[in-house]
Amino acid sequence: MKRIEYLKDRFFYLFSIFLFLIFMIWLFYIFKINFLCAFLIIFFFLFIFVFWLFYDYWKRKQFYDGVMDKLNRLPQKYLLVELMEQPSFLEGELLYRILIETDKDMNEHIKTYERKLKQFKEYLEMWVHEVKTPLARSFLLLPKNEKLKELEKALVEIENNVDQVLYYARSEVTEKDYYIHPTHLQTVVNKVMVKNQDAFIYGKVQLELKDLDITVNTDSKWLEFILNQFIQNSLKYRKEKGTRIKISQEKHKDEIYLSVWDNGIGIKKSELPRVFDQSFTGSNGRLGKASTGMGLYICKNLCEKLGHQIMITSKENEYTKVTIIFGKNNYYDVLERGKL
Amino acid sequence: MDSESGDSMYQILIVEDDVIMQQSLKTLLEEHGYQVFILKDFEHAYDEFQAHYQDVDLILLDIQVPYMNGELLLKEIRKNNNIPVIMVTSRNNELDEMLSMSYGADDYVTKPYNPSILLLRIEAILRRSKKEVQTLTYHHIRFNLQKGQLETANKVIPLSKNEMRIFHFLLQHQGEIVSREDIMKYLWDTEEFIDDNTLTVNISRIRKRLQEAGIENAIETKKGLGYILL
Repeated sequence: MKRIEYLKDRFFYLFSIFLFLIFMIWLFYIFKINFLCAFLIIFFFLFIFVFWLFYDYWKRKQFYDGVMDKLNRLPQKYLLVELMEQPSFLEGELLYRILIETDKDMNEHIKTYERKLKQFKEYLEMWVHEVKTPLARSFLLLPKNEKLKELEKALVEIENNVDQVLYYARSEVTEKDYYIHPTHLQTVVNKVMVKNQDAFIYGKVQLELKDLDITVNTDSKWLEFILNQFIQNSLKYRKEKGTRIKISQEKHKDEIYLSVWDNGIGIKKSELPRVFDQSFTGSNGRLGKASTGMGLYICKNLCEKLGHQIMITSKENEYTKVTIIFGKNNYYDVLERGKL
Repeated sequence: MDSESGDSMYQILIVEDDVIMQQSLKTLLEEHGYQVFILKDFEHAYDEFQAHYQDVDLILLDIQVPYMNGELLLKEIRKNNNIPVIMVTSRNNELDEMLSMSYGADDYVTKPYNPSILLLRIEAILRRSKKEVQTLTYHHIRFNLQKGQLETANKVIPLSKNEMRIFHFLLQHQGEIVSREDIMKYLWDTEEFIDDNTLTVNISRIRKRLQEAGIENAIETKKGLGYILL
């Protein structure tokens, strides 16, 4: 709040005082009041008035500047009212009450949406499980027959897509429904490889696994989904011949890097920063391969929730490498030690 | 091929409320030489189990069965029984798995599962729980699965893990042509991720081992089709 703004705002008020003073001087003059007496009255009046003006200005400035400062520094602006000091003048108090009221209403509004989202997610989870039963049935009913390979492939594709929906819902909901605990990387990778065996065996894809005999803190189901997405991508965007996929682990200081590398068609340098964006398909996605642009976006969300970092490097027509970085999580170390 | 150990068939109890799943599981398991029972009365699941199925060798238990949750049923069963239990579920999350394991499940399979993996897991659990030495015979050779070796009257020939698995698979399909892909899939199911070249190398090693044991030309290559164990 600037002084000039304050004075401008009080213009009518100041103007009235000014008129009042003129009127007083005129009265003093008409009634021939002693000059000294008139001077003292006006001086005293002005003194009190200016003093009051400064006090009023200072009080407001104090309050509004404080509010503005907090507003600028707060990342979550809606929390302002929680940090506000209760003002000592009427307009401030009104503002305070209004903010509390609107905040409360907004909270309820948000709660409604949260509840709706949660219900939606619960329904989706249930639906996914409902779908998985007939899928399981189909896999069992499917006779072992080379001619039906394509049907099996289609079923696997459905399974993957259904999983994607499930994990999308899980990644978007704020409540915590993962469970981080020490997980053996090899075990998770093996599950993913067994799941994708047909693509590797029939597609003659070479697989290399390196240094996976190590434990990290994560949710194994989520990690399994994430790795499966990586492998799906590597298989989808491969070159026609000589595909190689390498899954490896490296240690850098306290962090563990798990990478999936492939010698596929790669990603354009200009598109690389956007591959984790929602619905980003890029030029590869338009190569006639069905792409929703959701896979990596979901992976990134899941990683963020689990507290892992995710990064991607690629060179067009040469390779793509996606890496998850598992930080050292002291909190869980403490928990583990507590158990002993 | 004949098995020396499995005179009586292994008995498996299926607890699953989806009728089509029940039947297709039953067919699948029966095709692979198991005797299969299906639990019918879910409302009194534990009583039915107590009355008829106390002596089965393994239980396939779905987590979501009507009236009683599978985990609770498992808890009941575990109170005075040690039958191996494989939990089957479409709920795919970490907590359910941990919970089931803590109630005493021996394994946990999520739907939709690959039938051959289910069979492998059943096989592995039964082998562990019975602890008997499983041996198969091929001509005059005894194939010791526990130790992973071929035994003749005067010789013991050790096999590597992959050689053992490949030979086991060939032996199970003795007289049939098996494709390279089928062999590889069998190995991938057991989490041995071998590629084309490794398979070729392993086959020629098995041939050599069989030669050492005195059987020439046991494995024939059918061009474009695969291998056949004579």
